[in-house]
Amino acid sequence: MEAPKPVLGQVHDYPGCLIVVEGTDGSGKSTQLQLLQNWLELEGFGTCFTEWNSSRLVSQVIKKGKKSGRLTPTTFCLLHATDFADRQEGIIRPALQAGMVVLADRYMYTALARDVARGADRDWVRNTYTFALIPDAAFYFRVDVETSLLRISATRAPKFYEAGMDLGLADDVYQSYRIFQSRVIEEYDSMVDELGLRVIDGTRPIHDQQSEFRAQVRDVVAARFGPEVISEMRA
Amino acid sequence: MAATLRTNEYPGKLVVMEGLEGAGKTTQLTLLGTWLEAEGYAVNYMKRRTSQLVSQAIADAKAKKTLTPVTYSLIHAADFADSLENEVIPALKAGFIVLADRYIFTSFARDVVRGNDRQWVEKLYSFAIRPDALFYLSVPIDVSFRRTAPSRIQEFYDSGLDTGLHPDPAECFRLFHSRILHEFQDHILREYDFQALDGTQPIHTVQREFRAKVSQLLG
Repeated sequence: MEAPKPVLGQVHDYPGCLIVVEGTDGSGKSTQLQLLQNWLELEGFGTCFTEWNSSRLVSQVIKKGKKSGRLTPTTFCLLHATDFADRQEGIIRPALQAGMVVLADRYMYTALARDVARGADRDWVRNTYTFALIPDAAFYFRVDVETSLLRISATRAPKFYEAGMDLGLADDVYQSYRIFQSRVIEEYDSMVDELGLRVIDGTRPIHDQQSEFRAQVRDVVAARFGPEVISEMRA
Repeated sequence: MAATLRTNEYPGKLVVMEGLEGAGKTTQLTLLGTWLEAEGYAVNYMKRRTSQLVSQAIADAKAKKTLTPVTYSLIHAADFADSLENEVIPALKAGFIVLADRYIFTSFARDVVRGNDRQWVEKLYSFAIRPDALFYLSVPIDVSFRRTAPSRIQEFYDSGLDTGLHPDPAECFRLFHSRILHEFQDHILREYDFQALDGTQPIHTVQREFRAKVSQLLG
């Protein structure tokens, strides 16, 4: 007998549909999600966009905590979980109840990858997020660490926490970014099978990725809204 | 099942006092602290919602009534973690006696009464340090109610009005805190190594017993 797939989170049966994108900084996930949102709206779907660390409740606290360097791996995890929970109750759940397609730029998988890469206990982090709604689909835009670094350094230097400088891995911020984000990528990769992330190769041309992304999302929304939406949608 | 907590491996000691609103926890801890300092010990206090990191955010959210059971739990856990890691642990490392006015057990009780899963809450706090001594200052619900300031009873979350148990703040306070008391009696006091103090006794009587028990800890 095949072992049941491990589930992390709460199954939802709202009329709406929850689609999330994941990946390291510079993976192109935000670009892809924006293109997807435009397409869904052209197709007549109501959409609702929500991004990581944007809650009214604690996003400013997190920003200040990052600036002051006061955050520890524990408070880093708990505050992001608070931010996530606040958006789930205040934005995501109501939008799903209203029948919208909710598009989340980063979701709990970001926390599961980063917090564990930061040294928090894997079981503890996973327990913390058991209140999360299981998305209809989670897409992981995969790039290697050098691509990620190359893309973000085109406009800026890696930031303190995204480079994992709080862990003292290296004095040089670029070197620290390589080490820390490699760990994050490792964590993401380990979740692909375990938690059912759908991998899209983030090094391919933007247009090709978007075609693949739309093709998969078409099936996801069809599963939620009924098969008839497929034929109505343009390719 | 009781949560597994980290053992205190530092030279300092962690003494925790739990009990209902109005039980006399703060009074007893302050008297104990004064005495300990007179005895030559360095003392530090831990209180809920005093962290540099999030106490202001909690106050704002409580005023705006925007907390749900899950965010209430998580933001208090963040507050606790910030105090623990940035204040309590450094004090324990430096050999202080840390007197905690409420600890994770208050969160266990409140969060569960608010509808969160007991095991989820206990695991959430598994990063906490196990106290060296754990006291429960016991009073009946009527005594708690009488001793609690009316302004506090009117407070939305402190009275548990967010749980919708009763529309009247005073009635809701009674119901909410009775449930908290049951959570202590039925689970927490049985699963963790508490020493009981009788909060209905005169203040000085309780204090003498408290000092005697803490003396044993200090050897």
